[in-house]
Order: sequence, then C-alpha cells, then structure tokens
Amino acid sequence: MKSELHKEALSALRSGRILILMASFLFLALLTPTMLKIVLPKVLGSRIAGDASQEIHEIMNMTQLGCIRSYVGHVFEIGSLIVAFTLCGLTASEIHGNTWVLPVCAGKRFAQMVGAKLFIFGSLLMITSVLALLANYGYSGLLFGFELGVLPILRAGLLQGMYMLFLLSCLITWGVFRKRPIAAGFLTLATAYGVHLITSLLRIHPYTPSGLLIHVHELTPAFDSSLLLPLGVTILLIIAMALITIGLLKRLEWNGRSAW
Amino acid sequence: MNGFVLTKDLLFLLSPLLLLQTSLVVYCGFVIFKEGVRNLSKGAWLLICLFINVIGPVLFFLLGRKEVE
Amino acid sequence: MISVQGLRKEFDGFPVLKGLDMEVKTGEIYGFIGQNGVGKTTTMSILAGLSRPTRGTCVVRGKDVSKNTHPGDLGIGYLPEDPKFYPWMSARETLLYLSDAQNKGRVQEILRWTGLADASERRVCGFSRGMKQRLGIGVALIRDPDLFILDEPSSALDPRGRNEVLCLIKDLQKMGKTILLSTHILDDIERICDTVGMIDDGRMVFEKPLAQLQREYRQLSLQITSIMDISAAAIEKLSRLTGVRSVTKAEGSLTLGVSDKTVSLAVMALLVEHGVAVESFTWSKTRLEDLFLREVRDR
Repeated sequence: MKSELHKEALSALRSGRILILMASFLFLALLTPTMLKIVLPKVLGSRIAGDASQEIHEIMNMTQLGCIRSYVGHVFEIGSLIVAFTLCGLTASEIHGNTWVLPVCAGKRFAQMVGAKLFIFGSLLMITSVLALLANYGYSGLLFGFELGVLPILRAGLLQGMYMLFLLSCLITWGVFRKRPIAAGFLTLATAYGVHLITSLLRIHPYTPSGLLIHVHELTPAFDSSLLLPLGVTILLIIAMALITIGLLKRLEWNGRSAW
Repeated sequence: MNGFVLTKDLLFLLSPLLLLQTSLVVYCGFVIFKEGVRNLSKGAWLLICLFINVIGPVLFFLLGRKEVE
Repeated sequence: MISVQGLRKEFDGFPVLKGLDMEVKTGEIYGFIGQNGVGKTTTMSILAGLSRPTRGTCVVRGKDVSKNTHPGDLGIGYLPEDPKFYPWMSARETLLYLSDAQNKGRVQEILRWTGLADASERRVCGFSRGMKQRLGIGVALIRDPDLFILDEPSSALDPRGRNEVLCLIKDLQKMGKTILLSTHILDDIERICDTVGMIDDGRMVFEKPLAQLQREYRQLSLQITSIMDISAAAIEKLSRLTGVRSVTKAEGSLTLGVSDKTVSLAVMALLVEHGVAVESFTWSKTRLEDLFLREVRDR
C-alpha cells in the first residue's frame, strides 16, 4: 500500500496535475473578487454616466460574503470542469494505455490501486479546495473588508472538498466503464450537472451530493444536523462507486493489445 | 473602456493575480525548454502561456507536455 | 509446468483459439511460432491469467487459470508484447514500485543483470525499445518466479539488442527456470529453444523437440535446373529412385528431397538417360523458415 501511495503522489507531482489544480483554483479564487471590485464597476460605470454609477455600486451589494458566494458558484461550474479534465485519465488511461498490466501481474491488488488514487487525489482536492477558498477569503476581505470568521470558511472548504471527492470517484468509476479519458471526463460532468439539475428540480437537496454545495453556500460556522444527511449520502456513494470500480476491474480482461 | 487607468492602487490590488500568472509563466517556460513539447511548437506554447491568463499554462500542462502519456 | 487442453477463446463470438493443446515441460525453453494474428498473444495472456478462456483447461504451475482470481497469484514472470511503463518514473523507481519496495538489493541486482544499472535513474520515457524490453524482463524477474511467459521478447529489436535478450533468456534457463516465448523470428527459435510449437488458425499444428524437428525437416535437398523442360516420365522415374523422398517441380527447376548425397549418382545417370541438359546441380538444406512457409502454405 505504501508503494502504491508513493506512486500516486509521484504521478500527481510529475504529471503536473497538482500544479494545474492549484493554479486554476487559485486563479478562480483571485479572479472573482477582482472582477467584482475592479473590472465590473469600471465597465458598468463607463456605460452609465454620472451619479447612476454610484447607485449601481450599492445595488450590486458587493460584500465579502457575496463575493465568496459568487466564487463558490464558479467552483461548481468551472472548477468541476477543470477537475474532470485534469483527472479524467486517472483510471481510463491506465486501462487504455495498458500501464496497469505490469502492476497487476506483479501482484498489486485492485483495491489498493483504486484506494491509493482516491486517497492521494482526494487529499489533493481537499487541500486545493480549502487553500483556494482561504485565498478567496483573504483577498476578498482585503478588497471589501472582513465580515466573516475563518471557521465557516474552513467548514465550507472541507465540504467543497468532499464534493470534489465525489467527482473524483465518478471519474474513477466512469474511467473503468468507458476506458477512455475524454469519455470519463464528459460522463462525470454529465453526472455532476445532471445530479444538480435533478436535485434542484425535485428539491431533494438533503439527499444528494449537490446538497453539500447548498451548505457550502450558506457559509455558517455551525455544524448542524441537516448537514449529516447529504454528507452521509455522499460518503456512501463514494464507497459504493469505489466498490463497483474494484468489482469491474476484477472482471476485466487485459488483452495484450490496447483495448478499443 | 475609458477611465480604465492602471493606478498604483489598482496594481497593488491586482498583485496576487499577477504573481500567480508570472510564476506560472516562468515555470512553464522552464518546462517547455527543459522537457520539450508536443502538439504545437515551443514558441507557440510559450506565447500561449504568456498571453492567455492562467488558462494558457493550464492548457499547456494538459495538452503540451511531452512526458505525460 | 503448463498444460493446455482444448483451449478456446472467442472475442464477441469470433473464435481466435479453436481448441489448442500444448504442454510445456519444466526447465525447457518452449518456442511458440506462428504468423501474426493466429492467437499467440491471446494464448499467452490467458496463460498469464490476464484473459479468461471461453472453454478448455489451462493448468499453469498446478493451478487452473480459469479458477484463478488474480493474475499476480500465478507466480509467473510475464512480459507483454509491448510492455508499458509509467513514463515519468525512472527504471529504479519502476522496479521498486512493482516490487513494493521490499528488497532494494534485489532491484540493484536486476538492474545490473539486465544491463540497466547506468540508466537506472533516467526516466523511462527516454528509453529505447531495447532498454524497455530489458526493463520488462527485469520486471518479470522481480518476484523470482520459476516460469516465464515472454511475448515476442526479441521482436522489434535490432540484431545487437536481440542478441542481448536471447542471452538473458538462455541465462534464465541455466538458473533452472522454465520459459515460454513467442516469436516470429525463426532464427531465434533455432538458437535457444528446446521445444517448438507452431500454431495456426487457433490450433496447434505441431509440437516437437527442436532436435527432432531438425532431424525430420532438415533434409538434404537437391536442386536441379535445366535449360529445357524435364519430361514427366523422367520425374516419374526420379521419384521412384531409392533415397529420393520427394520431388517438387517448379518453373524450370526441380527440387528433390533425398536421404544422403550418394543418391546423386543415380539421379545424374537418370538425367543423362533422359537426355536432360542440366544447367545447375546444387545441394541445400531446408531451414526452419522453409518448413514454416510450407506448413503455412499447405493449410
């Protein structure tokens, strides 16, 4: 297991995936306050002359809280996209490119291989989510003035990381189903957005991973009991998907020539 | 777009973004010349990294790195 | 070591193997030959536990492959046709990772033995085909198995690389290992194999010790070319001469399979008798290559 974790950590580092995720999340985190504070008022201000521009400033109600909420929304829309396409090859390219043949023959267990991927990239996504949200918190506080404590931010960051973990396990499972990185990416996005759509249409927020995002959006410091349900559902889903993946892998045939 | 003047204050406010972009470009340039590229030429990737904010370097890492796969 | 009976494998209903039988004895180098696409790789991946047979039994090292749950449990050193490594790992990291970092001394030993010690810190993405092949053999060696299944270990290499790989395989046999290898380079078979199995159209055509094969097929042959057509009567009489095993007629030439060189006197006399103006009269030996081509053509 140790060598498995080491391998995944090395792959995250050397393939530049850590860098891509960190950079793009930080970019989103820093861009949102910039847009809201500097660019948007200038653009609007130049369109609407005179006193009106001042009013717009007030109407848009730009506060730190609003800014963070706007960022959190961007993470769901754009961050998911980045995660999906950065990590889409996690299992798919291992199968498609036959890089798993030698480890399997050397006696590596599927549960360990999938577990190590979930652990390493899951931690990476958690850390990235929390760090980016902290950066967003700090920067927006600098621009608009601080009005929140750090605790709700940490809580929101961890919940967001949990949602990203859900995306990760989708990627891993779809990768084994379809064996093509790009297909795994698109299917994961379809799953994520689909779940979100169904959740908001049927109003079943407490029962889906998308419910986590609602809690992220709230930015409250308290851990109330309504959080337990979506969190539990998400964790169960992640475990179920991991088990499905391992089951599929055990039944997979590794034919020497690349599987089309 | 009148009134968009780059004042000192503005520059200070934008510094985190600029820092992020600059460090990415420097790192990408390092990787481009050390490891080589695929899909496009070195010059093209360098221009993409320089002029497309953050997305450029990210694109390079996803599509332009030689070593991955 | 390996015992296969009536092995069938279908891909989406399309049969690739149609009842293959084979027997690999302990301590031998078994050469698996056949054209591309007749099922060599399929057979080997089934034997390595990576693919499941549709029907038939495969017993490898006393274990039934179809009842095995994990390819790693068979205790085989397997080298795929085109071994794929992680390009961002160095040779040493690859071996350490695949051996669970259990024994660093063994990794160093393997690196030295496969001639990769100097390149051990370089990333695999910069490796040549031959180096990758040697690293692949090194990977197969990690758990010190007593059976190796090597899929085309010497193909796609230049003559020097091929020679190195063949020497490595011969060394393995000296250590008491059993080796099953496939190839389409028949020269390699003649150099190192003890037993040859030829597969065509998903079935075993023959399976014989190399020495016996050479005795049977490495017959002397006599090639006669003439400036004119050799009459049918002459050919008829030639084929009835004692010591002549076969007569094959081709455009302007005649090939006789004979038992020994003393037949030449009788052949010559017969040709003179029929007034055949001989242009050339040459001895040759059938190579495995010719045998292979003939077997393939006959089917």
